[in-house]
Amino acid sequence: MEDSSNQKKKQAIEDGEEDRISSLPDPILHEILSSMDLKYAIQTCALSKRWRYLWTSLPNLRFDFDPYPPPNDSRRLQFAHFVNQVLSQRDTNSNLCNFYFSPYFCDHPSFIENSLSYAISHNVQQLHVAAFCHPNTYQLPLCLINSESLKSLTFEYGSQVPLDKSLALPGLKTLHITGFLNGSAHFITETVGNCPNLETLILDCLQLNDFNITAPKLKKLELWYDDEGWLSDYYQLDFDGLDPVPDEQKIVVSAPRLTSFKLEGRVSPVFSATSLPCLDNVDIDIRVPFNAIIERSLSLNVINMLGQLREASSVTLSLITLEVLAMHTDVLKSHPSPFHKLKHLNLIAEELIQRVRSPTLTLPLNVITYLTRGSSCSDTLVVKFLDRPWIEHRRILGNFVRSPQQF
Amino acid sequence: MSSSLEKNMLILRSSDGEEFIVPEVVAVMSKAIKNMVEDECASNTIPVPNVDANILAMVIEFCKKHDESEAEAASDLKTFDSEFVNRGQEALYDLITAANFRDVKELLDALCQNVAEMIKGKSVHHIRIQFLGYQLFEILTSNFIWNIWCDRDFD
Repeated sequence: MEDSSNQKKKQAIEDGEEDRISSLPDPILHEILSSMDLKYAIQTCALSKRWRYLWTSLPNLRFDFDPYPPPNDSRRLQFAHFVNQVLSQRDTNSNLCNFYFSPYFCDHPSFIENSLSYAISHNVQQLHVAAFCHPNTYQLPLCLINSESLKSLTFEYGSQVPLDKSLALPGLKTLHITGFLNGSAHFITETVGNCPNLETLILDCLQLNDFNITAPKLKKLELWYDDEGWLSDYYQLDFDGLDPVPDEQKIVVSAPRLTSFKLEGRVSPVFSATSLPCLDNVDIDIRVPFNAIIERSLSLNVINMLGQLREASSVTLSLITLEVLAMHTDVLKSHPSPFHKLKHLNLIAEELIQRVRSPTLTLPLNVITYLTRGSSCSDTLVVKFLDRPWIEHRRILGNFVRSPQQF
Repeated sequence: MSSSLEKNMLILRSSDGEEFIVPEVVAVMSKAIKNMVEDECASNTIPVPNVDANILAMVIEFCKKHDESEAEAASDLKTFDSEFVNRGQEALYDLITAANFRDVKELLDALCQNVAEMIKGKSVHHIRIQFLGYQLFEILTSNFIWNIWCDRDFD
């Protein structure tokens, strides 16, 4: 039999009054639980009374299905069961902040739809969806299309998201979509137009080149083209020239507050603002297949685009972009040097070294002059060579996104 | 020269009365202090109640490193963070309380991450003894049945 003081102590421990960690406030403990795998976080319910229901009000939920080794049906069912159990036992009055939902592949559209509806109905602010459904695609819940709570939205496998209705999200600040099939240009144009507070837009593995971006508050724009797509176009042309980008296909960007712009691809957007006074960072990587003949129009487009980005103080260019600029010297000569505030010039060296397998680099001097001549800060110009180890990773992702039907 | 230097410095006074002279850019990494400075309700000396000198010195060390290493590689900062948070439990909880109260987000994130690393994947009775102050005999007697159940279910 235990005496009363022992009994009291035990009671205090079970109520979580005794130890330091249990006496931390809920938001801190939630932060701690959010930093570990959800399974471990839920297991803490067995610790004491203090911890028993703590997980049920966790504002951050991360459901991440591991697709390796290739999943079988029972693992998928187990995952869906886990998600459903967690969501049904969660405290219904607790709002969500961050919902990361990556079931990878599933064959029940209702599972994805219900999970998304749950997140939106609990006022989720950051939503990350990496899901695709085969053979039936899932529908975006109506409440998601008009959500007022969403601040950040990420779609992976964008080609698998039914994009017939554009989104209208008044609070959205960040939109990141990976993988688009042709035909969703309308979706981008409309959605960007309907999200007036958008500050960051990242379009990854793009295959479109005819959309408009009109975003008065946009600060950061990244366009990543799926260059495997460009290469496959190119193979059909039998290596005798690039398929010129048709004139009517144009990206028009109207974003007067832009501070940072990144492009990886072959399309040069047109910036409709007369100047971009806030612009700081520009990162251009023109993708051209190896040994391709660089068309005059391509060089001209890039030069025109750089002219519109003249306010940038930090410019990063791939060496292939330099090659494109160097190809037609007469075009280069007839244009003034764009960057009058240039302070940092970064050159991405890695890729070209890999391609030509040479430890030395030849820089086209006339291009360097063209880039730096106009700068009034040229006495402190910093030129750096950067590596980009993640390029390979992106390629793999691009490939993967393009052919989900195989799974 | 000296007056312009002083202009950008703040004095932080810990709960036990010790004073620290800190550059303003470092001090305002605490949102609570930042708000005070912005509202101009702070004189040169800012009291930091509930945080003793020992802990305050650690918080300042962390903020200084994060302010200086803007240009440094992210991996260096990560190494520093992981070494910084590697402390005994008492100091850890004092730091968490201070970071929470003074609203220093980077520090709070690093600390919570560290506690999560310590807890995750451990068995229920391991966490109870190590973190919740259970004595071994309590585990072995009153909660014996409960623990057998927990361990079977969760390990």
